[in-house]
Amino acid sequence: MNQEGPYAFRWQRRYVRVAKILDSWRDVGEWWNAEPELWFWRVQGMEQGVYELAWDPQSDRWWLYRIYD
Amino acid sequence: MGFIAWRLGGLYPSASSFPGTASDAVVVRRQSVYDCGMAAWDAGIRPGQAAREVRWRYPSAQVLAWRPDWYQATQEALGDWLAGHAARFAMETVEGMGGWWEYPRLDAETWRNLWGEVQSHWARRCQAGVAGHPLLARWIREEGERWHLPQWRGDGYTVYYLPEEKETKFWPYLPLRYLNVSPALRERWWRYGWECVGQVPGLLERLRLLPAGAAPPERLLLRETLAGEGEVLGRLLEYLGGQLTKVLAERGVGVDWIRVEWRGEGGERWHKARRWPEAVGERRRVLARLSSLLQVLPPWPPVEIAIEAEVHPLSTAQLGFWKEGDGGKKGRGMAGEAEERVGVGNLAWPQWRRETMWSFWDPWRRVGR
Repeated sequence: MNQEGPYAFRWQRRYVRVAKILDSWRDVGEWWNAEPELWFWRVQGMEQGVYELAWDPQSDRWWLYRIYD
Repeated sequence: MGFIAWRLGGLYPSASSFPGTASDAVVVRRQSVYDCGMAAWDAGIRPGQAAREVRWRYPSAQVLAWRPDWYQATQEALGDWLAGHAARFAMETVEGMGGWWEYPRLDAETWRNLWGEVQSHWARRCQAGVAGHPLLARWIREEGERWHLPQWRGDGYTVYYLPEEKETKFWPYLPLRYLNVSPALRERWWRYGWECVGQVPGLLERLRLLPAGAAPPERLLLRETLAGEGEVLGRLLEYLGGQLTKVLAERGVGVDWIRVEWRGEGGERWHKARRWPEAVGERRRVLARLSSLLQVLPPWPPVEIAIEAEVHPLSTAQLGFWKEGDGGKKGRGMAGEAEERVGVGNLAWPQWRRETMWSFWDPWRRVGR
């Protein structure tokens, strides 16, 4: 991750480089259920795929949250 | 008006070991009243009440601990009688003896005759509700007086009945506590502040569809003549899926089995069918299911397509428009996952809240809605 957000990630043994960050936002989560705040990025990969990535800054865990195509 | 939900009291115990005097006895099972004598009943004791209430409601009660052999034969004989007199019936035997049974065209005179038989063989007291659905009947049995419903009163019985023309008005007010649903769903309803059926989106339509017993699955059939070679598969999918979804939405049901049959010019037939583990009614999911069956085309040019679908009432999990319970565990997320593969790496928290909120502002999530 750089200052703007993720620049690459792995998925299905592929290395996907981020060509463009389309959007980003934060979700405060169900704090009353101990759900942490999550950071989200919608990114376009070099191979034209669009993905949503989620990051939990507390535990530094990443998820590939959604794949658009 | 065909379902009687009843609660019996003053049962005739069948074992000689029963020690109580008929009138004062209150039989307690698992901390709640199972049966009581006539005097106790008339003092306000009812099966299902908490045992601790007995002492202040009826101080002279002779409290007895329930024994299975006291009521076993009565229960069996009553079941046999119901089987011979009711179209269908269900017995409750945990918190007292009761249940519901279906009797077509019940009126006060018929009820008196039926009660006469019950009273002379099995029970001396009865509180009942009569309505067009067992759930309504059960509610009326408990709260008929509060709603000032008409009643039949007689020797040992009080029966509240819900006139047919009032049923539509009463359905939305049916309290959710009368529904037999999972604790998780009950808690979710509670969190939303929903207390009666009319407040839960889609629930009313589904309950009306649900018969008391198991209903045979219903099948829909759509048939379409193809325009020829120019017919684009995508347009066909959109059209047929739209038609199917429209029918599903109108009837408040979902589909869990679809069969697509292609017909050729010479009468050839070629089909593909698939069953899914749950019924869905949402347009996107129905389209996704249909598209999976349209991926493989017949080896000859089709001239007609027929779609057969098995429909069921939607599962309660879908009534909130999303799936929550198994969301994280089975790796299944929001509706529409088949198309979009939501939850490739599952978050530990349910997605429904997040996705529902985002669906209001995120244009990417509004596509196709």
